[in-house]
Amino acid sequence: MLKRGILHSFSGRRYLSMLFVSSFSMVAEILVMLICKIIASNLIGETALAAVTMVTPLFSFVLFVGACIACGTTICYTTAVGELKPEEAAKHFGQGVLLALFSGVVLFGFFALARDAILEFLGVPPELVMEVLPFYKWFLGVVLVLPVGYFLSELVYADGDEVLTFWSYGILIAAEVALSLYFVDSMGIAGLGLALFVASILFLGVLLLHFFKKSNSLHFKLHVNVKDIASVFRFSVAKSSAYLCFSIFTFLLTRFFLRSCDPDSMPVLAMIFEVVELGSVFGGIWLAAEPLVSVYRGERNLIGVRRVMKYVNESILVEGVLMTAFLIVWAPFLADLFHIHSTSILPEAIWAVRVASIGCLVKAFQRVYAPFYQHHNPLFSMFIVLMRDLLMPILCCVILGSLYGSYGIWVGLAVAPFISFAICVVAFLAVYGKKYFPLLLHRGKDMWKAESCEVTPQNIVALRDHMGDYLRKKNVENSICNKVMLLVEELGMHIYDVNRNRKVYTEFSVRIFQGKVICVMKDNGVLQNMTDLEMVVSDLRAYFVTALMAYQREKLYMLTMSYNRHVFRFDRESWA
Amino acid sequence: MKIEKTTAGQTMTFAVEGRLDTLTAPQLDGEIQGKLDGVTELIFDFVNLEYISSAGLRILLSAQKVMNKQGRMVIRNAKPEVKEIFEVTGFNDILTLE
Repeated sequence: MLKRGILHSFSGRRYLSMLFVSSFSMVAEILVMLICKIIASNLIGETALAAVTMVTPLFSFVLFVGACIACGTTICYTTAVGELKPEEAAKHFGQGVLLALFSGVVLFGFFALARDAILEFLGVPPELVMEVLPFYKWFLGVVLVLPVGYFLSELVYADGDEVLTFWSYGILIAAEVALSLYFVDSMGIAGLGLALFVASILFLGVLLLHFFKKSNSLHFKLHVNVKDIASVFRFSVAKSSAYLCFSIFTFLLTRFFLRSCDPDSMPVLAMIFEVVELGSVFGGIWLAAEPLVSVYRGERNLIGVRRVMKYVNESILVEGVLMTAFLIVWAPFLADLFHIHSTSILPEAIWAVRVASIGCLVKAFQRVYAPFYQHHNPLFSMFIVLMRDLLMPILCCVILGSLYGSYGIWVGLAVAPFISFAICVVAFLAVYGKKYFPLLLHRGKDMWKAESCEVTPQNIVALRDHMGDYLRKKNVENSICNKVMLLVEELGMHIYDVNRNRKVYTEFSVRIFQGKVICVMKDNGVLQNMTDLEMVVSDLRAYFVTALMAYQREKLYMLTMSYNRHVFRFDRESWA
Repeated sequence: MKIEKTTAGQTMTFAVEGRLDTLTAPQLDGEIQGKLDGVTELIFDFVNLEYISSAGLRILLSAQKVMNKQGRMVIRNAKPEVKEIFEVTGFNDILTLE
């Protein structure tokens, strides 16, 4: 009997291994500016904190541009891989590299030449400008490097190298902390900027190591095409607009706060912005699922999509509850981290964090489903982001803030996620109806049968029999059924033989299409191409596999996200 | 998998029914290993064998090696799907099929 569930399936294990790194990478993105603010407030002073806070919208804007290129390219790339089109995948990657480099240069030039105008637009008070400039000088270097670094981190991660991605973000944060502490003493706020710049270079350097690894399947092909660029931006709309919306939200709320509330409570606002931004951690759940979902979409395997989204929903529930609990319990610590010790604002700060945490769970669902929908309907995806990150929060904060002051703003942040969630659900049902809620997948059109297991002799035989029974039930010819069963057993046992010292998982999917049977076998074992007729034959089974492959006309191997993916097509004349 | 073993003088016959695969091959191996002394003709009747994998071929190959020294081995009544496996792997040149 094949076990089911996230811990016993190939896609579940793959998802879990990516989830940790993706969540870490989302936290790291937030930590980059947070570390600057914490070090500024604790080691330099409140004006330094204010100066760094003023530059935060620019950082969000750079991330927005980086996300526009990275997120969409990742989806285009992994979908092409799913469709077994390596040339097209290489073109998307090549185009993405060029766009990222180009955007870095353009942003650098723009921020350098229009510096004074930008600072005026951000509303930087004259007394703060001299504090901002030394930081801004080094921040330009970050602007040059970050789009390429961000792009590569997404693609390297999507290529299955979550270990290197983890280390790249780890080194980014560690280097930023260490170098900030070192440089701040002698250079003040300029030291913060320099530390961030050097850390960004190191971050990029670590990611480049992926191209020297055997598991690398990212290949550069020079390509720029307007239609492909449009696809990239179409698929980036959810994540990239989230950065833009947050940027606009922080800008508007800061202006409103300065006009309507006690300026002494400003540090509370700075802290709450970070708490709101913590919600982007939930984006890590989608980041982990997206490459898997895109490959399944490329294969037209709706069962695979549905299965991964089930794991996603479970993760949202767990992370949402944990985040809420964390914020409620650690609110006093967060206030301390932001150097909020004044007895007049400390109770407000703690209360604000706890109240803002209430909407974590519903916000988490929106964080994940907004990018999920962009494949089907980018406009609806953008609608969710606008509701979640800009319209509802700013409306609730302004309305309640006008009535109850700063306490009204914190309550506004608590209720906004619920209102936006309700509006989005109503909008979905109005546009698509209950039948397609929430995954937008046609139930009746599942043509795939997919099963997954740990690779052991008993499980492989059970998997073989399961597939054989399924094909017979679908009235597939006996000879084809036998060939598929043989494939499952021989390839499965060969995987077992070459991976004796490790736990390996496999997924076998079949699709009956126009009289043919298409099989996809994935495994996370040692990288090997079993369709290669030059494969080393060390025993009878390996010989048997090579013999089968010599006769099997329609076969393909594609290294996908650092796992093996073999595809076969069977019909009456499969064997020459 | 069901195995029916009959012995008539120096001829031993195994009628194998079902699937000869990774999990069932050891069962057949247990019936053959060390039990071919004095056998000059070994017959496998595959009329009811639906499926054979490399694990099954391994058993046949070992038996063939033994019988090459002391007599002959024959495979009878193999179904087309099973014969196809012998052809694909080149075992039809090693085994005697009737």
